[in-house]
Amino acid sequence: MQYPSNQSNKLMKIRSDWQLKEGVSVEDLQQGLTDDLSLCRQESTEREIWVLDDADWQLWQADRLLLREDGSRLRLYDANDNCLATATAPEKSRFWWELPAGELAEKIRESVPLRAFVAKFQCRISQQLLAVLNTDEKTVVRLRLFGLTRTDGSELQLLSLLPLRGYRREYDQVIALLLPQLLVKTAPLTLRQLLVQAGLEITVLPGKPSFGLDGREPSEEAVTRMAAKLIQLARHQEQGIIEDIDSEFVHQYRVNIRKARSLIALFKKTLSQPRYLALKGELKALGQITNRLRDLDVFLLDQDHYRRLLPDGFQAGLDHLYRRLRRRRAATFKSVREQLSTEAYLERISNVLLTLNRPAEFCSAQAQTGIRELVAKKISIQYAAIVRDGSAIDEQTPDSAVHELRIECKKLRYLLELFAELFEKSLLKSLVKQLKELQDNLGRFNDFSVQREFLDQLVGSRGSSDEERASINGLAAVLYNQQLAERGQVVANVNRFIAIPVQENFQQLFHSEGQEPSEP
Amino acid sequence: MKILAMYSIKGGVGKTASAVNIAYWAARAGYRTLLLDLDSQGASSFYFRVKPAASKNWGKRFFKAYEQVLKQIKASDFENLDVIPAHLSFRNFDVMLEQIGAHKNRLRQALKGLKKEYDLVILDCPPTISRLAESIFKAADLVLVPVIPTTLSERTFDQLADFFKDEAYGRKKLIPFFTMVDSRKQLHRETAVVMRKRYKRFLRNAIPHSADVEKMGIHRAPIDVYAHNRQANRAYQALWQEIAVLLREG
Repeated sequence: MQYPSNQSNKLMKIRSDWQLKEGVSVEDLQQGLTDDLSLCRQESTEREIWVLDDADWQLWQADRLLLREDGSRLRLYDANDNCLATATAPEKSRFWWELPAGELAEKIRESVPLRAFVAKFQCRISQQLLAVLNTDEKTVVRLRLFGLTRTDGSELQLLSLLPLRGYRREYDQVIALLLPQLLVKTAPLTLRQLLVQAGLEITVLPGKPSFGLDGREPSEEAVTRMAAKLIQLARHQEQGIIEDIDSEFVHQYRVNIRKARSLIALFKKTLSQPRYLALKGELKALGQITNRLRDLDVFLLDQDHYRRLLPDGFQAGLDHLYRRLRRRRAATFKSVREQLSTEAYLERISNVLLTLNRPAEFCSAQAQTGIRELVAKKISIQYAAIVRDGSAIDEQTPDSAVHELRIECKKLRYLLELFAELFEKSLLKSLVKQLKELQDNLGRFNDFSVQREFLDQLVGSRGSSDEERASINGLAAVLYNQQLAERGQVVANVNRFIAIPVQENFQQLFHSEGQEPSEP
Repeated sequence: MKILAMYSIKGGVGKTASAVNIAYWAARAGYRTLLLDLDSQGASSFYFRVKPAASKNWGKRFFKAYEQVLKQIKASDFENLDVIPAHLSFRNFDVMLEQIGAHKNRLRQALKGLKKEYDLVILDCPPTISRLAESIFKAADLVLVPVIPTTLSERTFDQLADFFKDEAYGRKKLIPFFTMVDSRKQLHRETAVVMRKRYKRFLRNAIPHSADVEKMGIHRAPIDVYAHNRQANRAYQALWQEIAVLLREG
């Protein structure tokens, strides 16, 4: 939708955009002008547009707009309607890696590396370019007349008036003359604005939920309320899982369930024994539904990476392996989809929510403690445990101890992030960043174990060819080496995180303040 | 930002037609281009249907303040192409320059301020050797000279080349090209051969003698707009491409 724009930025600030009164035609506009000005029709286009984006509108939020036009043509625009890249791809393409290799694929990968882009909104936009000419037939003002068909079927006409350098007087004159046809001023009519005018609504769930915590809120109430919200967030992903749009739905579903589980486990003393046990069992069962599916997804997503790890001779074996895994994933997915649609599942979810929504029982002192005080205490204790366990780790410590430490770090991370709104932001952020560095190292170390176990299972399973087994063993060997390299960094990373300055920061943020109620 | 002057001591050699069409193709190639019509007898502004704003004697101010220049800029109907229309007061430039004792660098300084907005300024110059012309020779990165391949034109160009040599304007700037060439005329063919031998910097592409060029006055537009597939149009496009190489190299 490019248009001649030989005008400075200053001029573009003068441009104005309007909604027209109902039923105004080009002839009406012409008649509104004086004898020394005439209206000349130029190019006109009509387009059927599909807006594509992922579940979280990540492209839109990155000031990008991905449109499918005329069936198979994809175009990516920036916020100023500059076309950044185009490609032709069949309608079924939903991931950057399904597009023809090139600029468009790369640019989408930047914003949406894992998610599917799907059709979110459809609209017809017609555009008529018009030039206002003076008696020399020189263009003095440019007009763009847009016609939109809204989602509800109603029609809408919009007009942009674009000044030309050196013709400010004519521009002011044209606005004054057309005023009777203009209904109301709008924001500059970029593609995004046109889509909003046509009825496009952006609904985005926040990446990190806000719980609206009050530091003095009794802990039992705060914890159950937060867990209920996390379960609700997990439920938002269900439809995406069932439709198998992309792997992120399963991932986000699991993250929310896992956070809820951790929360309940960390604060079990605020709950009555029967309530805690009921939640523990149900949440564990909910998490298990998608375990295998996630393992398979991760392995499939990493395909390119694994292929690079092995020389050419092993690729055929990997082909077999991946074919088998895709079949297995299809079967696993089917079973997950069925489970999510069963009565038993729905009952389990509503059970969890009912249990969480019950009024507080206040069975323990902790249950009544203000949440901020309790969290501060928990964080101090959790960090102290990491300092203690971490200082015991050296190069010879068995892997099991490293895994233990990873789990303790994860608990600390959840505490810091779930309750972030209760504490001073900047210091907390730097602590989380330091923790993340350690966690990334420990996480990779763990991932290699998980992947190797996963490969072990595959080698043992029926139906694998010799070629395939050779590739799997080759991969396992490479992964083992990488794991050793990762292990080599653990001690240094741990020591950095339990160093005196970090300890002092934790002390400052969580110890002294532990007693004070927070100011919301 | 590059400054390109379209200059000829002689009138009626296709100077303005060349300025208009080269400006058009430069803009099409993505150069943000400003055509400055300094020739009040010429017609660059006429071809783009642009008229000067009613303003008293702004020519004087032209050399004084860049802001005054900006106020005179008008958008053409083509993307990337703006025009400063010729103004009657330009006639008096020479007199004025004498009066204010203007330094030859004045024009270059005045145009420098435009570099944020434009990649290329094309000057359509009046056909005189004067104080103004000298400012232009100083200011321009390239001085393009349309030459009809006749004996008289050859002598005129020799004069200009000598003048450049005497005044040390940098003869490399001086780029001649043939216009209004009629290949049926023996004189045209012979003069062209001789001149190309004497002046190595002649552009390879020549503009033919053509009714399509003359029709610019009727259509009031660059040739591409009304005679897209014609030889004259292709000649200007090819000529521009040659000039573009020189601009990039400079």
